Amino acid sequence: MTTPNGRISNSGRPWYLVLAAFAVALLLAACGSTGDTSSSAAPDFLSGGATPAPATIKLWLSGQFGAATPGSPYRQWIDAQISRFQQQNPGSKVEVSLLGFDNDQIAARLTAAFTSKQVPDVALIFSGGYTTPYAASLTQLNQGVDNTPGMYDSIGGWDLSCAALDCQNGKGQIFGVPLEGVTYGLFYNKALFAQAGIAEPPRTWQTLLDACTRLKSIGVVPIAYGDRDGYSTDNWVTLMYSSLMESGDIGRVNDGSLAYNDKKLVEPLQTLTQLKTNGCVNPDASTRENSDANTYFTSGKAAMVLMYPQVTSQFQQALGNKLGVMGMPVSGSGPLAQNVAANSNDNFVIPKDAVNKALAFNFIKLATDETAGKSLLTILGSPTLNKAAAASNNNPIAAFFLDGLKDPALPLLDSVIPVKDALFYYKQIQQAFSGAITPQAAMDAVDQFAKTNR
Amino acid sequence: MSLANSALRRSEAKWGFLYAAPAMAFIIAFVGYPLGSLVYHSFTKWDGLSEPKWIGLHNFGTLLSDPVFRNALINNCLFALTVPLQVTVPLALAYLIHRQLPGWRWFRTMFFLPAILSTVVVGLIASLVLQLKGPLNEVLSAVGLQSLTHDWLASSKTSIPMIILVVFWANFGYNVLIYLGGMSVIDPSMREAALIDGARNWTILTRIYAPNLRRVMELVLVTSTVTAFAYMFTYVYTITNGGPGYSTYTTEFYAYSQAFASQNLGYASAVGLALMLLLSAIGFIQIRLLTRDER
Repeated sequence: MTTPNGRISNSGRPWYLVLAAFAVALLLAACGSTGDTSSSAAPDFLSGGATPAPATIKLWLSGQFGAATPGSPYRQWIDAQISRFQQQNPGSKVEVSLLGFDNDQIAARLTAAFTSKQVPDVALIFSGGYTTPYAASLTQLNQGVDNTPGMYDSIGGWDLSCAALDCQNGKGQIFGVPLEGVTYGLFYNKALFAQAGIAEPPRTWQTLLDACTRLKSIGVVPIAYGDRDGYSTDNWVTLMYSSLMESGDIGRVNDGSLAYNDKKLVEPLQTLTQLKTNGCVNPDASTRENSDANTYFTSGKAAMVLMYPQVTSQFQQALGNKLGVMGMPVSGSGPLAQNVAANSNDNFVIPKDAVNKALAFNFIKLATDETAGKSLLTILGSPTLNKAAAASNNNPIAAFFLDGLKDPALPLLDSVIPVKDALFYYKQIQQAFSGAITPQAAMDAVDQFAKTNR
Repeated sequence: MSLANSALRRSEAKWGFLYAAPAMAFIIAFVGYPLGSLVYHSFTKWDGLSEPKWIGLHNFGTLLSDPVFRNALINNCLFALTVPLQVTVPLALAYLIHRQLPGWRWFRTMFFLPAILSTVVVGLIASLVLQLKGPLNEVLSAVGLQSLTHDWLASSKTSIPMIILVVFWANFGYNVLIYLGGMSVIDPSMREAALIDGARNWTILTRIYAPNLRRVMELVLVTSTVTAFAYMFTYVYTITNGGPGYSTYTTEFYAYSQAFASQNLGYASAVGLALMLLLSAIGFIQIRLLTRDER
C-alpha cells in the first residue's frame, strides 16, 4: 500500500483522518445512545396526575405467561386485560412479546435487555430471585402504589417484589406488583387410581410409594416427571424442605447462614431419588421437559403430576371430573411438616429505561385489580393475589391453592435465591435425581457455587 | 517520470482508501470494537448492569480451575476428533457421485438435503429422533435390536456421540458439494490416462484427485475445525440444552450461559477470549502445516 520512500503515507494523512473520523462516527452509531432515556417520561409519572398521552406500550411476558401463544388460556387472559386497557386509555395499544418458558432463556433475555437498555415498558417476570437482582434497572413503584388508594392492601404476597424480600407493609422499596401465587399440588387422575384399586390419595411418603407399585401393575406411569432442566425435581424437593425446615430457614439459606449441604436440604433430595429407583416416574424423566410431564398426565399415560396451579384449566379441560388435587406427601416430620411452601409467582415491573412509564403503571393497576383477578381464576384457575377476587373463588382446584397461599410456612427456595444460584442449583439436583451424582455431591457443589458468588 | 509516478500512486491510494473506508469502518465497528470490549471485560467482574470492576487476571485464574470450562473444552476436542472424517468421507462420496454411479443424482440430493436445513430444525429433529420413545428406538425394536434401545440423551456417554453424528450428518453434504465443485475442474484426461495405465479407483482418488483438491481440502479442514469449536451452539442448545447437568456444554455455550443466564459477563468474556486464542492457535498451526511446502 505504501511506496518504498513512504511518500504516500505521509501525504495521505488527511485521508487517514477522514477515514478515522468516518470509522468513529460509525462506531458511535453502532454503539447507540447510552444516555438516560428516563427524561422522556414525566418524572412524577407515578403521582397519578395528568392522563398520559396515548402510545403503544411494550409488554414482555415470561414464566408461565411466556407460553401465552395465541389461543392459549394465558393469552386469553392477557388479551382480555389488553382489551380493558385499550378501552380505558383510548388511542393506546399494547405490543406483546413472549420471553419463553425456560428460565435460562428468560434470564438471558432480561440481562441482555437491561444491559443494552432496550427494554419494554412493562414486564411480567418471576418474583423474588428473578426480580431483585435487577433492582438497579427497575423503577421503584412506591409512589405509584401509595397514590393509588387501597392498592397495597388489596393485593397479597408483596414481599418477593421488594428490596431484601421484605416490603415492610408497603414502607420497603417496591419494585414489582405481584399478580398470582405459586405452590405445588399433586394432581391425580381419579379414574386411574380407581383402576389400580387405590381407594384414597396417598397422604404419606410410604403410601405414595405403595401407590406407585399398584399403578405400575396396571401399566400406568405412576408419576409424570419432566426433569431435563431440573424443574420437576425442584418442584418436589422444594415442598419436601418444609417438612424438615423451621420458619426462616429459607431466608437463612439465602443469606448463607444455613448451608446448601445441610442435612435439611440433602435429606429431602435423597428421599426424592426413591421415586427414580422405585420406578415411580417415566423412564425418560431426565430428558423430558417439564411441560412434557403435563402431556403424559393429560393424555392418561400417567396417574399423577406435581405441578403449579397455572395448569389447572388445562388439566380440567383434559380430564374433567376425573381430575383431583392433593397436598404432596412429604417424608420429614419437622415442625412445619403439615404446612405448605408458597409465595408470589410473578410480578409486573417497569424498567428504569422504559419510555411510557405512566401508561405502563396504568396497565399494571388494571391487570392486578379485582376484575383481572377474577378472570385469572376463571380462565386459568390460577390463584390470584388480589384479595377480593380470591374471596369470590368457586373453583375447587383453585381453592386448594388459595388455601395454601393464605399462610405459607416457608417461601419456595428457588423463588428466593438469586437467579444465577437457582440456575446452577437446578442442574445439580437434576443430576442427583438422574443418579449421575449423589444428592450430597450435588448440594456440596451448590453450596460451593453460592459461596463463591456471595 | 518518477514525480508523475508518485503522484499517480498518491491518487490511487486516496481512492483506494476512500473505497475501502466503508468496509474498514464496518470492520472497526463490528469486529474491532467488540473485540476490544471483549478483551477489556475479560479483566473485569461485570454483571452487565452495574459498572465493570477491574480484577486483573482473576477470571483467567478461575478458568484454569473451572471443571465446567474444562469439560466444555474436552467436548469441543471430541467434536474436533471427527474433523478427519469430515474431510475424507465427503471426498470419497463426492468421487462416487462424480463418477456418476447409478443413482448419483438421487444421492447428490440426499447428501445435500441436510445442509439446506436450518441448524435449529436439524437439532429439533435430532432431539425427537433420539427420545426414549423416538423413531430410532422404534426402528431398533422393530428389527429385533431391543437390547440396544436407550435414552440416548440421558447420559453424556451417548449424547456426545449422538451430537457428533448429527453434526456430521448436517455438514457432510455441504462438504460433498464443495468437493464436487473442485472435481469438476480437474482435467478428465488425467483420470483416463490413469485408467489406461491400469490404476484402480482408490489409486485415482488418492493419487490424482486428492492432490489436485488440496486447496479444497484445506478449506474443508479449516471450516470443519472452526465448526467443532465455535459453531456447536445451536446443536447443543436444541438437542440437550447443555445437559444432563453440564455434560454436553461446549465453550461457546458456556460463554453464553455465563454471560446471559448467570450474569457473569466478565467471566464470559474471559471464556470467549480463551476460545478465540485457542482457535487462532489451531488455525495458525493448520495454515503453517498446510503451506509448509510453499515456504
